[in-house]
Order: sequence, then structure tokens, then C-alpha cells
Amino acid sequence: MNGNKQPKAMVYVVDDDAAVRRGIARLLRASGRACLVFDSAKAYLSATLEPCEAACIVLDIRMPEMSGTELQTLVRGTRREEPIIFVTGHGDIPTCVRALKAGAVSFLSKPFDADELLTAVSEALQRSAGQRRSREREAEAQTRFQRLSAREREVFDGVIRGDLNKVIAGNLGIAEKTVKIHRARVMEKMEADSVAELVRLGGRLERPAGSAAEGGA
Amino acid sequence: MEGFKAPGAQGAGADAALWMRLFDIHPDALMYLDCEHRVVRINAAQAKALGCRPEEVVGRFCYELMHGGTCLVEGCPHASMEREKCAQTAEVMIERLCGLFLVTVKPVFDDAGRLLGALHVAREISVAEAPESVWRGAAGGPESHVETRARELRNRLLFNRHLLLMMQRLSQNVLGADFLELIRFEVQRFVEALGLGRCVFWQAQGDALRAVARHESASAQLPPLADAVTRESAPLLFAVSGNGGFIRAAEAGVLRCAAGKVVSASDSRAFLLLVECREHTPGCVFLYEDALRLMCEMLGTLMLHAADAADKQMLRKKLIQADRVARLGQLTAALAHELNQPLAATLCNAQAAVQLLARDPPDLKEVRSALNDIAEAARHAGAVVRHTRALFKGDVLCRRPVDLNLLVRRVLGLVRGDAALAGAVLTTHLEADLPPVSGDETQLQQVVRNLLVNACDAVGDKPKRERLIGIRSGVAAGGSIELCVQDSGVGIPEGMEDKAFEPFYTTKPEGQGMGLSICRQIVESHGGQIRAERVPEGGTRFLISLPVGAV
Repeated sequence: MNGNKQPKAMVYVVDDDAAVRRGIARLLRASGRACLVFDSAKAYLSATLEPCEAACIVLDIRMPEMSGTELQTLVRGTRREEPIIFVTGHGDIPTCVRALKAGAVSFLSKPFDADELLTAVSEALQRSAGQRRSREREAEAQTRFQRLSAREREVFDGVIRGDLNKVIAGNLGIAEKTVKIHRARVMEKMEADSVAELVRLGGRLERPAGSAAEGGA
Repeated sequence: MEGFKAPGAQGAGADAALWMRLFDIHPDALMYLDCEHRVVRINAAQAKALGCRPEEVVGRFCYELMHGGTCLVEGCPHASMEREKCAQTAEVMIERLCGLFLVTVKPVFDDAGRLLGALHVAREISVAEAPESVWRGAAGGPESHVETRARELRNRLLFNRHLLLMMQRLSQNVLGADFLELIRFEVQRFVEALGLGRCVFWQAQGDALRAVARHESASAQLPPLADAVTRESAPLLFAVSGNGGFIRAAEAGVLRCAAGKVVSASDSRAFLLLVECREHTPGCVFLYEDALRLMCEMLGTLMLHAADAADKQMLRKKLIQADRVARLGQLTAALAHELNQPLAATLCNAQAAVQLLARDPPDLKEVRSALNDIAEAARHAGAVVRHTRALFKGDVLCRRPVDLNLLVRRVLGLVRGDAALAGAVLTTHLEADLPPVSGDETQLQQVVRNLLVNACDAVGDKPKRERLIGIRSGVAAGGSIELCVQDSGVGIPEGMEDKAFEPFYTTKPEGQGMGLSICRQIVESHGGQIRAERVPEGGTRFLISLPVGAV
């Protein structure tokens, strides 16, 4: 992959309390983590962040203007959706449950131990890296798929559906021999060594619903 | 026994002596009078009550015998019987017998329909005796501990002289509403004095009550009651009055179930006091055993103590104590939240410092910064504790003359950023030459700041041009200084104006619900008052009044 060009893991600390913010940042840096601090959710949102291999947010729940959970809702499903570690001075259970349901990695009550924070950060960064890898794989599969011709895509759909060459030929109204040729081209263009891998690649593709050929119908 | 028209005696040639004997052994006090109100005969029960032999009173006027008067007493059913020519019932206070009696006067006619006289049937209903039968009527069985306590409680509550007297005075002409007013007054007094919650009174017609007894769902049948139960978070005291329906329900054994249903509509803090006003026996008042048991369970010994504590001073002390306990809880939450911030900073910095020292070479510069931050956090925590302790004690940290206008301007400087971010327009009307108030400037600043920050939050959801916040100072009619913070925001839900000041009440998703309760504490510790009002055209208005000069 091409991750080597980018900075490694980054932790964003968002807390309106300057003392807490500085403390967390110092602790992270002392433990060898790179971090950036923001005094509000808005400051975080308006900042231009360098892309990096993995990133996570250490986010205070209670902040004026925009709370941590509001920020969570806002970045949901966007490119800025980094794993979130919530920290709060008043660990009320309903907020905690809501935050975790909405996808937060951890929920730490202030004051928290260094180990708790560092473990949570490691987990979050791992998750972030995993997310990033799967995003990259999706993009790669997409690029390869773009190389296929219209006929090859039809054959591709048939293959990953598990149809026999004969069936694909019947469905498309072409000779079985032709299907074999298309099939070989598909395997080559998709850089797949086996049908199993082809199926895996097919699963990563983002295609509008119903665009896959309804050959069997 | 001429003129005594015994049922079934006519034309049967029955033995008059047998009828006389039957008359005698009747458990109610019977008295047969002629048309001039002279006693013809009384039965054994009546003689026993009067403490004489039956023949001694023959020929005496009933009003003279019973009331020591010279004519029929007011409210005597005999007079109305003479008018209506049919049976009449009324409650009569009989001085000679020292009690309240339910007296039924039945006219006695001869075969031609001429009035021969009247039969008086008197049954004592003075609260001193009557409820015994009521107690036994409902449950029966061996007396449990709870029942003993219920009885004790009843004795103290119901037989509380005050209440008893009022009930008797009222019993001449009892109306459900008036009666409820009295009960309300009595019960509310206890409940309030003990700081136990609020007393909600609810009146229902017999049919509605019967419906409760019949049907499973109390909430479906009693929407207003169920609503009130679910709305209220404070302990509730319910009094339900009605007529005959409930008595029959109780006898049928379903009252308990009905009471349980209503109570469970909320939670164990709610409890139901069932008060019955029987239609045909006005003044006859029952507090059902079920209701009393519930009452005991909830109020327990507190109530008994309250009844014991004759002097109001003690009740007052208890009330203050309850208030203190509430404040303690509220402050603990606030304290915890405020302290967790510096504690988190301290812990992070300390653990970072350890790691920085472990480096080779140690990063001493960064360690120094960490230690400075730790010291700063500790100082901050100390300030929080000092401040909170002062609040808890209800003390004002330091009293100095405070110019409220100056204070408002200073706070405005602090919150302008918040207002600008919220897109709110701030307007001020500060009355010139405002007399100073006496108090702690920092605390009062906190109040104004809290209110303004709240206002900024409240207008956030409004369209840009409708985000208005106004702050006004002035001298109120009573001479106190008034400060008003008004916003055009979404406002406090109707009926929640008081609730807004309770700890943990919040309309903000992430709110702690501490701000306003702290505001109230500060204002009250300054001898002032704070309240919230809904603004009819939308928004909320917070009014603070503070006494001028020395507190």
C-alpha cells in the first residue's frame, strides 16, 4: 500500500478546559503519540488536517457551543469520521450509552488513568487503520472494475453469482467458448487468482442498486 | 302502647307485649314521640344512653330532654318531617349525650292517614366511636403490625382535636368540597412541614370511582388523576373523594386493587388517600384502612412524630433539615463535576511527568510545565471546594456593597463571545443610580453569567433575526432591586417554571441541570428570590429580586 508517504498515527484532543487539554496532550506526547489540540468542536471542524495513516479523537462531552456528542453526529459518515474516545467529568450512564451506540470506541470518566487513555487510544488507532485499509481496498477494487468492458461486467456478475459458463452463455445469448475468453480477461483485469478472490472483490464494490445484471431472471 | 303502629301488628291480633319487647331490644336508640314532641316511650338503648329508666322520661319534650332547649333545635329532622310528611334524616349534635348522631325521624300514621306521632331512630356517628366498625369492616382477620400503626396514625391524625372539632362543626351541613378543603388543610400541613412532597387533591363522582373498582386500568378511567401522578416527580399525596361507590367497592374487596392501580401508575413515592363522603350520611367520614396503610408505609413514623411534635419549632427544624439534605445532594453532584476537571488535569500531568523523567535524558523542561499545571489545577480545585462549602452553608462568602449595573456590564463583557457565537442580539436597560445590594460579587456574577449563557443557548434554535436577549435592572415596587434576563428562545415547557430550578432539570441534551439550582441557592443566600416566567410571545424571563443594602 502507499501509506508510507503519510504521517503515522495522530490523536486529536478536543476539550474546552485548558488544563485538561494540556494534561492529556502532555501525557500522549510523553507516551510517544503525536497529537493536536483544539479548544472547541468548531475549532476542530474548521481545522485543515493532514491526512495520516490512522487518527482518533479524544473528545470532551461537555463543551459550550457544540458538545462532543453533537460533533459525533455531525461527522458521522463523512471523511472526518475518526474513532472517538469520549471523556467526561460527569459520567452519566444515558449519555455514555448513547455515545457508545453511536459508535464511540470508549467512554472515560474524568479523572482517568494514563493506562486507560493510552489503551483506548491504541484501540482507536487500530480501528482507524483498519477502516483506512478497508477503504483503500474498496478503492482498489473499484479501480480494477472500471477496467472491465460492458460484456466483461456481465460475465463478472455471472461468475460471482456462481453460474456455470454454460448458464452464463445461455443467459447472455453467446457461445460458451466466448464466455471462457471473457472470463479469463475478467480474472486478469481484476487481478484475481481464483473465483473466491473475485467474489471478495465483488463484495467490496460500490455499485448503484440494481445495476448488477439480472441475468438469471 | 297506643298509637304505635308496629309493622305486621295490624289485624293480626299479635301480642302487644312482644312488639314492645322487640322495640326495647333494638340496638339503635329509639324514641316514640307524639305530635307535641312529647316522649311516649323510649327503648332500652335510648334509656341507657340517657342514663335513666324508660318511664322517667315519658311526657317530657324531646328538645328539652335532648338539648335542654324550649323548642325544636335548628336542623332537627323532626321539623322537616312535619313539613314533608315523610321520613327525614339528619345529623344532630346531642349535647345531653355528648355526641353526634344520625337521627332518622319516621312519621307514624293511623289507618286513616292521620299523623299520630314520630319514631326517632338515633345512631351515634361521632368519630370517636364510629370508625371502629369501619376498620373492622374492610379487612378483618388478625391485626397486623401495619394495622396497629394505621390505627395509631388514625388516632393522631383523625382524632387530632383540631380536625375532629372542625369536622363536627361542619357535619351539620357538609359539602364534599368543604370537607376536602379541611382535610387538605390538615394533611398539607403535615406533608409540607416535613418536606415530604406535595398534596394533590382530586375529586371524583361515584361513577368514576366505581369504574376504577370495576376496571383493570386506572389510567384509562381516571385520566386526570393518572396524568397528575405521572407528571409529578415529587412524592404525592392523593386524596380522592366520592360517594357511595367507593364504599361498595371496598366491601367487595376491590378497593385495595383500585388503590394499588392508581398508586402503581407512578411509583412507590405516590400514595393515595381515599376519603369517602357518603351521600346519604353527610359528615360520616371514613379513611379507609388501605389508604391509611399506604399512608403509614410512606410517611411512617415521621408522621407520628409530627403529630407528637406539638411545637411548630420542631416541625420547622425538620423542614429545614430536609431542605439541607436536598441541598447536600445537589451540591455533591456539582462538586463532583467541578472537581473532576482539575483532578483529570492533575492525573494526566503527573503520569506524563513520570514518563518524561524516565526518558534518557529526562525532559526536565516539560516536567516543570507539568508540575506547574498540577499546582494550578490544585489551586483551582481548592477554590471550587471553598466556594461550594460556602454555598452549602448558605453563607455569602463576603459581603460588600455591589453595584449590580457594574456587575452586569462586567458579565456582559464575559459573555459577549457566547452571544456573538449564538448570533444573539443583547439589549440592556440598566436603571441609573441603582442602590447597591450587599453580597458576594463573584457569586452574583455567576448567577448573571449562568442566566445569560442559558439565554444564549435558548435562542440558538430560533431564526437569526429572532435571537434576542434582554437584560434589565431596576427598583421594584417593594424597594428591592430587580434584575430581569429575558430571551426569545424556545422557553421552559408550561408548568415547569418552578421545576427549572431543581437540580438535574435540564432541557439541553448535555446539560447537567445544575446551573439554575445553583443560581437559586446563591440568590436565596443573599436573601433574594429568583423565578422563571414564560413570556407569552415566546421565550423565558428570569426575575431576580435582591434586598437593598445590608442583607
